[in-house]
Amino acid sequence: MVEIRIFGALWKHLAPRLELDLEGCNVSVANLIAHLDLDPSEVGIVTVDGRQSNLDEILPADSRVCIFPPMFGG
Amino acid sequence: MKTLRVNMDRLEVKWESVLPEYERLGGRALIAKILLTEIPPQCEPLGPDNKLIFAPGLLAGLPSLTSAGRLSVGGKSPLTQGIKEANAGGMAGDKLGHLGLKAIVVEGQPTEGGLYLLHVTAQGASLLPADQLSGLGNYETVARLQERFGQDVAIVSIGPAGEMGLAGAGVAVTDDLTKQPGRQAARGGLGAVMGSKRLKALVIDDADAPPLPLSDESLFRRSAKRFARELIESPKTGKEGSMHRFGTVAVMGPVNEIGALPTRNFSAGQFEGFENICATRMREVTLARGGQIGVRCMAGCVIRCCNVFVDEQGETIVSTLQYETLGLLGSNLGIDSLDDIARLNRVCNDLGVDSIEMGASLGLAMEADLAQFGDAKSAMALLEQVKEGTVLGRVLGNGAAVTGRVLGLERIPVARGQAFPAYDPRALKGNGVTYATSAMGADHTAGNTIGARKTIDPLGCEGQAELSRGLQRVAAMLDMTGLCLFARPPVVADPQLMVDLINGRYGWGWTVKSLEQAEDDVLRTEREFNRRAGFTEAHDRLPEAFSREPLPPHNTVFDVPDAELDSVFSAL
Repeated sequence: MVEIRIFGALWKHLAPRLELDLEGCNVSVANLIAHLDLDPSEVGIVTVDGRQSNLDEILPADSRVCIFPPMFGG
Repeated sequence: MKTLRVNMDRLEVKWESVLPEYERLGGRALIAKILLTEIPPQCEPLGPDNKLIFAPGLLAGLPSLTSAGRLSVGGKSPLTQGIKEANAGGMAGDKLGHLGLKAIVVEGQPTEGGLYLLHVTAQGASLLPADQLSGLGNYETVARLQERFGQDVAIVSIGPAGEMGLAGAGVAVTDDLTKQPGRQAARGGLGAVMGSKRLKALVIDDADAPPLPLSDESLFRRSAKRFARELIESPKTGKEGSMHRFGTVAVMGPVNEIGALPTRNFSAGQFEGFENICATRMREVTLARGGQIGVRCMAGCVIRCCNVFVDEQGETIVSTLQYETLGLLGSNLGIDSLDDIARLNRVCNDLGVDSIEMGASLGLAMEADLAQFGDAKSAMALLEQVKEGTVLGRVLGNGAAVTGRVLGLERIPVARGQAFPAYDPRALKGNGVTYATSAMGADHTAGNTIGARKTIDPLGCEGQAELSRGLQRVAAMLDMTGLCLFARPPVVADPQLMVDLINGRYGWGWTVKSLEQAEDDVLRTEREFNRRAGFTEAHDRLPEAFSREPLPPHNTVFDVPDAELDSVFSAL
């Protein structure tokens, strides 16, 4: 089961916490964003198990994915 | 445009035409040039040879342009012993710009003691006695000055920390909505430089000042309109964006998730109390209590990233409660109560100390068992010692480097003597490069890499030097024009837009290449000042503890090679 956490302004689209069974599906971060129907321009950092990910990274089973809106540090 | 020279030896003010070599400089760029040209780089920062400079950016004072009124404050830093520019939002930058002031340069020191305030209006400027404000905190100082000069003036002031000459002292600026001294040019001890000049406050009144001239009104207005529209439509800065809905604390989520949130004196990168102080929680608490989110600090700002944080009775504790403060006075002290952090922040603002520097000092004090992590009451008691000027209070108020050395600690989170902001460089290595190499010391606003490029792994070394260099250039551009850091997307995406704004205002015929040249000149000038002050490449390093002690949860160290660090400026 992949645990998905959605942050901040993206809540207008999705619940803060989701779970998806992606076992054996070979799903990338980009696929997940598309599956969740999120506009890529509204997505900032995505982390997989606490590491900043690339869009083509394949999600491991039982991973934790956090999707953040675009933001600044400061 | 004019320069106002304030001579504190003779207690005289003098208006000058802008020198030709300063004409095309503003904000941080002007500060760097004046300091390199006019002060001995090896001078004592709190001595008479240092100068304190207040300089609005090139684009300040124009009501039709949003988010461009930041005030740069500069001088040689008593904290880093190098060049320093710190900037703040609020009302002062735009008002100085509207008055046609390129800079206020404060020189010398009074021989007879006393405390003064500088009153600047469209009719002139005068130094007035201010002994009655001696020892007052920033809030009371501002209240008394507003009673005397009215609510519409901008006030720049120091608290007791600046009067005491503490190297962690900042300069407070009143903001547009609350009129409180909640905006801080906090970093590098410039409040102490102001105190050493015996200058308690600036009162800036731009009533009756005529509108600024525009060289090409059509170009300027068209560009300003496009700039505002793009900010409003941006997913980062628009009404539905994180900055407006949550403010700077929005970044705490990803910082905690990637393991870079300073926790208990930078001993861990994730905080177990994160959920209690995160962006969502802060928004919920603020709105439930009748506080405000989406507040502007500068007139006309379309981003409006600030907040008014209130207590359970709806009384304002502080405005604005920012991410860096939540990191350094919160997770870094093991404190997970927004109320406690806001109260600590209020005391820091009143004392006139940098909440980042104080948070790092207090974290070290807790590491040394002078208080327990998580104990907000003890943290407040330590802040009271700073206010009282006890020996321990003066140690803490002189910043993290002094505190760490006095307490015999090894993990002292500083670069060039200045405390790390709320991004641990072992888990966000690009920021480590910025901390190590910026002439400013550890300063996130000099080149913050969080979320800057999705293809660069924050835990890896690859690409960090180039990323930091690029962001340091952008920061230089923003700081010379007075633009807010958060207003950068349109001008980073299309630098021609910035060029058009500058040409519309001044008619200089700049190109994108001229702009890039100006950015590099800022960085080179600052670097040259520090070289003459005695800095070498050996100073472009982080403390050894951060290269040796792994940071949980990723257990990484700061291992960007020295050659990479050296390449940041050799490639400029």
